[in-house]
Amino acid sequence: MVVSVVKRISVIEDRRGGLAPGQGPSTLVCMPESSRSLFRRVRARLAALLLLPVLVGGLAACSSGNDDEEKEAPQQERPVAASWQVDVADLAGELTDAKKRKMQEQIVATLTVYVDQALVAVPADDPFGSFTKNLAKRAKADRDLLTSAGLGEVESVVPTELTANLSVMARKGVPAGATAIVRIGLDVDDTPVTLSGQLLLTPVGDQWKIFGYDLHREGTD
Amino acid sequence: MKLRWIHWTPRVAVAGILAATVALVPTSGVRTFDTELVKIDYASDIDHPKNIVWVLAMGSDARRGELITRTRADAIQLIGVNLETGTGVVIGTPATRGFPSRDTAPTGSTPRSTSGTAADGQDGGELYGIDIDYALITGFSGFERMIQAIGGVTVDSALAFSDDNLPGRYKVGKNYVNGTRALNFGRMRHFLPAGDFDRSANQGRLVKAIFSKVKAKQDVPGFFEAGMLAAVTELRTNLSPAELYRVGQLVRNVKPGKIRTCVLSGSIGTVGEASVVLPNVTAARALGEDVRDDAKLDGPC
Repeated sequence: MVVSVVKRISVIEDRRGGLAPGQGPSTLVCMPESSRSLFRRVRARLAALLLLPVLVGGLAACSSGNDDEEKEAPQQERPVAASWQVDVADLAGELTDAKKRKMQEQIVATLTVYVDQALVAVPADDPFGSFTKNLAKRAKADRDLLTSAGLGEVESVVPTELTANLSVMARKGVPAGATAIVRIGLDVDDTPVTLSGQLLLTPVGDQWKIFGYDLHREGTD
Repeated sequence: MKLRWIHWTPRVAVAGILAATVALVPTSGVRTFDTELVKIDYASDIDHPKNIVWVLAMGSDARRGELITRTRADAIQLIGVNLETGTGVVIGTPATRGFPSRDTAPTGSTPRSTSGTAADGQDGGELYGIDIDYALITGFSGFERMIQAIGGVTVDSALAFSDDNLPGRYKVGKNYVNGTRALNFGRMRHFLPAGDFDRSANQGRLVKAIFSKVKAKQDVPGFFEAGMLAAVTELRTNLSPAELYRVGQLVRNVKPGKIRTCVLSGSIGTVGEASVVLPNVTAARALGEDVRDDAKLDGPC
């Protein structure tokens, strides 16, 4: 397995907190001043005593205002799980529409099993049920890239983009193999991760199995 | 210099705007530029039950109206690839058109296609002491069509040559060849200094050129499938199309730069009235011993 690291420059909003200036009277109450003269400090304390009820009310209002902001802030929307979009981009040989449709359905089923077992499942206990037996054994060496095991301590993985463009070879009206150029977008605890590349597929009985992969994963570290 | 100033002006302006923005905007509201490391991991593998795969690829000399499985093979290449390391070896076994039938062939002789590909694979393997995994055979037109299906190949020739029986001329170094020119490159022998042996070397170079082409285009959508459809159509083999598709995909693990070609030595003799190449069986066994476990030719060819 080859590992490389690339840099990406991005703009990140400062989340250190603090109230921004210019938010009205409640902001002033919440922000102490440090350079007052003694007279002004005494005057301020007197005023504070006199205005205690008002202050309490003001603080309450300030607090209340923050609650309102929290209520008004848009809720963090949970991503909607995507389903596979599988297209036959190239066909070498001939397939009837019915056989092509059946093949697409079977391949969707195979790819769905892979994503569900290997990526959505946390932990991924049985990740390679959609692989040929021999590849399933070999793929254990690449478990960190191929499954959620390599995503760290995560709570949820939601597929947000699932596309596959197939190049298919068919002989005498029967599909014999396919290369799927895939793009698997994932929401991993609100962090986007993308798995893309090629999956090699072969018909095995009434199913299709993955017998090869050439994938790379991109995501924040 | 003027151009340079013009070139830099927008950057200076942008830098000024950025500096002013940082100075004027209060700290709590600043959006900071950060650097984020994005890690990219790669992984690739392909299902193969054995790390070393041996293929006996044969070109039949069948003429119009003849069956390729009932005719002598005059191109015989033993191809071994190591799917873990990407190394490979292509060993040519020279053959002549006058090669004897199975019944009269001397022990350890060059394999032929008179009894079908499975038996040929067995014979070819025995000569080198190697178990053949797949035996494939094709004819003239089938080979042409397979080369056409992958858009021709670029073959590296050690000699400049032509032939009195076949059209085409080849130069030393790289030659782009379409289907017909590729076929003739692998058939010509009359003007080659070492005749059958040089021809066998050229056939090995064609095999290497095919590996290089497939590897170079393996990520082009549909390229592999179009090439494999031609192979499935034109090759005679006991593999199903699905099996052949999977075997073909093993090329992904091969590094053409790590493939060595070699031609088995031998002598010209006669069996009955036929002129034949008598392979050097001792040399064949020594080659087999060298490459059997890793598909890597360490010793001399």
